[in-house]
Amino acid sequence: MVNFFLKDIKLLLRDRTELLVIFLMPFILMLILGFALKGVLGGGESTRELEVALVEEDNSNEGKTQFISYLEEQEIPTIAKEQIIEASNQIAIPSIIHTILTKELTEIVAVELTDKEAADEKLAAKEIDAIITIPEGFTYTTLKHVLLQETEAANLLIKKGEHAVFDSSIVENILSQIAQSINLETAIAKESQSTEIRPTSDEVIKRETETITNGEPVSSMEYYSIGMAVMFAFFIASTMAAKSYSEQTQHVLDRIILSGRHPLQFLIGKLFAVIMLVFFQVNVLFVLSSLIMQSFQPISWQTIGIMELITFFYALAISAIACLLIALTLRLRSQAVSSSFTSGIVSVLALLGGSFTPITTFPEVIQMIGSWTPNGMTLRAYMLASQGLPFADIVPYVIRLSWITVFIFILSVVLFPNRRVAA
Amino acid sequence: MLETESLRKVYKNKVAVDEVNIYLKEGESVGLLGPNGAGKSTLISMIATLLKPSSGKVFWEGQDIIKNPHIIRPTLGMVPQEIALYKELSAYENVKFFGKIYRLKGKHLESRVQEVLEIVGLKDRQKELVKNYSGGMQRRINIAVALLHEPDIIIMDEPTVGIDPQSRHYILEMVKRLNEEKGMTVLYTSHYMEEVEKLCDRIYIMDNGKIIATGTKDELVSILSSEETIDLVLEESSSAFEDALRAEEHVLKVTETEKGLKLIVPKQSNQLTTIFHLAEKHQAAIQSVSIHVPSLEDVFLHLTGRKLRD
Ligand SMILES: Nc1ncnc2c1ncn2[C@@H]1O[C@H](COP(=O)(O)OP(=O)(O)OP(=O)(O)O)[C@@H](O)[C@H]1O
Ligand SMILES: [Mg+2]
Repeated sequence: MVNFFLKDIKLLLRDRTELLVIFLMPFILMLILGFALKGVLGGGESTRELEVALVEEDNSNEGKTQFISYLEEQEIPTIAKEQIIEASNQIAIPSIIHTILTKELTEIVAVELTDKEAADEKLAAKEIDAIITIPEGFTYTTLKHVLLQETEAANLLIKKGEHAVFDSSIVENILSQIAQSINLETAIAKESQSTEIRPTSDEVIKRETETITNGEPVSSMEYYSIGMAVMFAFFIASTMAAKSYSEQTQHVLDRIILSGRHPLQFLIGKLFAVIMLVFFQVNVLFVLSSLIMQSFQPISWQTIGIMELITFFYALAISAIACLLIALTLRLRSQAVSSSFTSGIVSVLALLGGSFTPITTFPEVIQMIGSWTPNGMTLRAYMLASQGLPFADIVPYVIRLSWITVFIFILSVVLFPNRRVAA
Repeated sequence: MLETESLRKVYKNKVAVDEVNIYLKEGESVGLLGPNGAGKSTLISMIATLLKPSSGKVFWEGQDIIKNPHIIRPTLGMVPQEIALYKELSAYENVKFFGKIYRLKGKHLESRVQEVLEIVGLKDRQKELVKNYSGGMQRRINIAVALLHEPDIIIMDEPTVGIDPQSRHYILEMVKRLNEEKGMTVLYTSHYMEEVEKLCDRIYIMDNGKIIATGTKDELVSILSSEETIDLVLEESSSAFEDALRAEEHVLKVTETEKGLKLIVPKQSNQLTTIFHLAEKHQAAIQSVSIHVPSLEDVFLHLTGRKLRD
């Protein structure tokens, strides 16, 4: 078995064209798609609107009153207190945010004002992409932060739908616009009160983004690293099937059978070769993407661990597919199995699984089918993992993938022409 | 030691091997001679347990190996008609890989690898990739792999096809040595008459899936012992002359050759006068005439009405 495995690896390493296809092509395609289709995932120049619900949980007047009473307690000269109160009256924080979202960023976002429940419902129904919440006490905290330089900047909550895939830059863009406006208004307010202008940091607000649970949004480079990784793994399976075909037609397989080895050993050698190659391939792509395009950064060890685990399960799934292709190839004595897989089936699977464009843009039914393709569910799992989600959230995908793997394995062993592979 | 019983293989509507009975005794060197498509490879594959017969049996030392292929496999060396090697691996890597799957290990494996490379005369060039070898060298490695596990019987399917005379000579000598010195039983397939004549104790002639003659070289030639062959070289072919010869009672067989005609006539019947007479009558210019005792080639021609090779 080890001998078969080593032989397969050696043969592949000597096949330069195949190596390029397997290890370099996905990277190149990732770059092309990542740059060309940046818009699909959002980003600054996006023409696609982000549907956002704005939920105001903050009561601006209450916040101001609270701020003033806090100010009264402080030991500051009365004149200064009065100026600060004046200034605070000029800053209407929720309306700044409101104005920016509805008037200035109309190119990027479409905002509607709703209450929390309605927003959650809409997010669940995938009618909107995200909810921006101005949390309770936002005005109070922000005033304290910008006028007194006390406390941390306030949090603006962004809850991103699981279905929504958009570039993190779009969120940055919104937030920095809001921050700038608050800064500007603060500056104006202070100016008019002729208090000395203290330098204010750009970070007047912080953000807290979450997917359904917490997570970083995915950049287009990250998205296509994952998309190409899950797609190109298929080519390792078909390459192995093609190699089996030539071993059969060139009668090398006859020799193996005559040696008294069980033909399944031949299959298992290939299986391990596939697992190793897929593992290697995916890692090469992710590391390159991370080093050159800064994808997946920053990343925690835990996330790396989870992603490697997903890679391992996906490698198993691909090795099962390889076994199925090999079994069919040898049974039918036909190259058509691997070539039709390479030239047709992979593209369909890749499309359905979302390797080229997020499947959220597809009709419901196709999304359903896509989520059941091995590559589709793996892509999803990688996405969640790269957003920093804990393993528990990924387990369902891994389990589903494992079931498919087991099924394909059994099918290929049944179809494998055991007794007389060569006949 | 090896015997087939009414072996038959039918592909869809083509009978590739038809009721073949052959046998090999221990230490014997047997030739299987036949033109392209005669069914040699099909027959050999069934004997080597690589192909299931449509009907019939194969016995190895009395045991049915169609039912239990593992009985013969460890003692069988098979040289397929194709170069059954990994072209992207070196000769050494190929031989070693097959040695390993034959469960040879460690020092023994290494020494066997070097021994067989020595036998086929490629020890010096073992590190080169098989795809960079000449056809003859590839054929030799193809044979080397079959010798690794020291088989009792070696089955060779046209091991010299498509290579230069020098390599052919080398391979023939090698097989002869294996047979004579190591006592290896050999089943040698070819469509080269000279090869089996030189190498084999006994010969089967196969055509259209059937064994049409068998015996030692002398026995086969004696089929034609009461006849002799006349080769005529003509300036240009003449169908009138040919027809006239065919009509002649004492000319047993007329076949066209490259430059003229080949006739089989009864011995000492002295047909030359008649032949010259007919040639004159039909204005066919004869350039040369030769009379000789029949060769195996002639036997084949006689049996099938066709030449071995086109
Ligand atoms: N897999 C197959 N399917 C259908 N017909 C086949 C198959 N294999 C062989 N044949 C046919 O059986 C006949 C015998 O073929 P075989 O290869 O045994 O001949 P051969 O004597 O080895 O010829 P050659 O000298 O060219 O190797 C041929 O007519 C061939 O077309
Ligand atoms: Mg043949």
